[in-house]
Amino acid sequence: PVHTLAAPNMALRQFARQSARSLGLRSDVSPAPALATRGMSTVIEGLKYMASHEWAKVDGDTVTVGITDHAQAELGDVVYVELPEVGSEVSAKSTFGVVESVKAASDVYSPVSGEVVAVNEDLADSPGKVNEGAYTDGWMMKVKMTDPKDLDALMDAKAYEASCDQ
Amino acid sequence: PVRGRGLGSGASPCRVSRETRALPDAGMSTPAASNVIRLVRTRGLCVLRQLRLEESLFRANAENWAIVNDGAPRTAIVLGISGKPHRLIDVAAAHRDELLVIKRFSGGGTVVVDANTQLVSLVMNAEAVAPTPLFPHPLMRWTEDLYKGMDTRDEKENAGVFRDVPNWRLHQNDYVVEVSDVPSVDERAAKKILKVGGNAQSISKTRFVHHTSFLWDFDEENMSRYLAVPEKQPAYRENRPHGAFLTPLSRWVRDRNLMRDRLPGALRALGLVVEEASVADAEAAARAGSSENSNSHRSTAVVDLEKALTMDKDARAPTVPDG
Repeated sequence: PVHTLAAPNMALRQFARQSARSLGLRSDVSPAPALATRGMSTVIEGLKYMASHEWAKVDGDTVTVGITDHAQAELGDVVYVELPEVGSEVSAKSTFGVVESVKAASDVYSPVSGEVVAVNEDLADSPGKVNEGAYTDGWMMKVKMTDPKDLDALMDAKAYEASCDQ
Repeated sequence: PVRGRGLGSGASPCRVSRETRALPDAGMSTPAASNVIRLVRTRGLCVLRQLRLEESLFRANAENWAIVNDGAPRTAIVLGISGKPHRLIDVAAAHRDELLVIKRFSGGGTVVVDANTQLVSLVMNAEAVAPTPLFPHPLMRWTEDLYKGMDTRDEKENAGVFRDVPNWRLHQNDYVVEVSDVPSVDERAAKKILKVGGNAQSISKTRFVHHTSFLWDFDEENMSRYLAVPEKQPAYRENRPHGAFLTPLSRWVRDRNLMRDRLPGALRALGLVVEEASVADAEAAARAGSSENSNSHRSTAVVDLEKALTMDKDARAPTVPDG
């Protein structure tokens, strides 16, 4: 189940449910409100997070990476995403790409070290998918981990939410 | 370490050592006090050299820097990180006229930089602007406070650079002047909001660059010759041509040295301690923080116009290797 908060919004609950389903995660909506919301952005239980606002979904030895709903909301309309080459190596906590929005090029950081096995080619023509579906169609890359212990340094949903409130 | 000539060698201010090439986050120098900012005030620094210096300070140094460069020695067009040359400029004209076209490391649009452009750059740590989060809009609100000054009961306490320019403000992410109070407004300026400076940013998890090209004056003919009216534009532009959308600072400010003279006070008003520095100091600091890791995924570079001519309209800017 995902976090509950005081005053969830119906549309956001639906979004979170759809997001959770797409990611293969549980989304328990009733009886209490079933999303974590911080203002207008969502946090999904079951994912791992970085303080720099990237999320990671672990599937065996492969991790899917994107930026959080909070990040896309703060960045504004995404107009360009620069991603690494498939086959390249990324390092935990180092930059793997750039997201451009509102005159700003913002670094994005890899949660794990490993080989990039896939990137989201759709973002080349449709960078707005990062805004529309930060946890779904807006995914950025998939990494085959070299050291699963990298995951220990990541936050869970609750800790990430708390870090955003600091 | 990358080998190359020492910075500052050679007569031309546009010669740039490879050592100022952009570097990744590794290899940061020892951080200074969080609220100290080193201020460089210079004139005639080549924009390519300035941008490469900024990127190196951003990636390989941990101090806060402000650079004011009054006038570029050579006219250049500067594209943002994702710029598509054919969508933004007349590539054939730029190639024919041997214009310097640069792809920078920050976001945003296209600018012409020349002898009447005042380039002001801030390369800073998160701590220096705390509690402002490192996202575009909060950072622009912070810089608006720097340039316009913060609201105070006593106007004499306002230390903003443009504190006495009527209706100077940030509007839809541009620095503008609203001209409704001005008695004689010519036909071209019939619209009330005119842009006086364009800004762009590059943001990491701990640092940011916010740089602005303020138009002390501009050559409308030059702009129209080389720059397209961008497809992506703020709503207030309403597809106006350059001459009807922009306004020179010289129309609103008597003293060309206003930025140079007032920026230190404006920085102090926001809680910073200003230390004067030189271009040589900044370049030495950038070199000192450089690392052997050449796995940088982006860098400021010269656009290969010859190659761009052969590419389609939606191709991103090709760059000259080690250019």
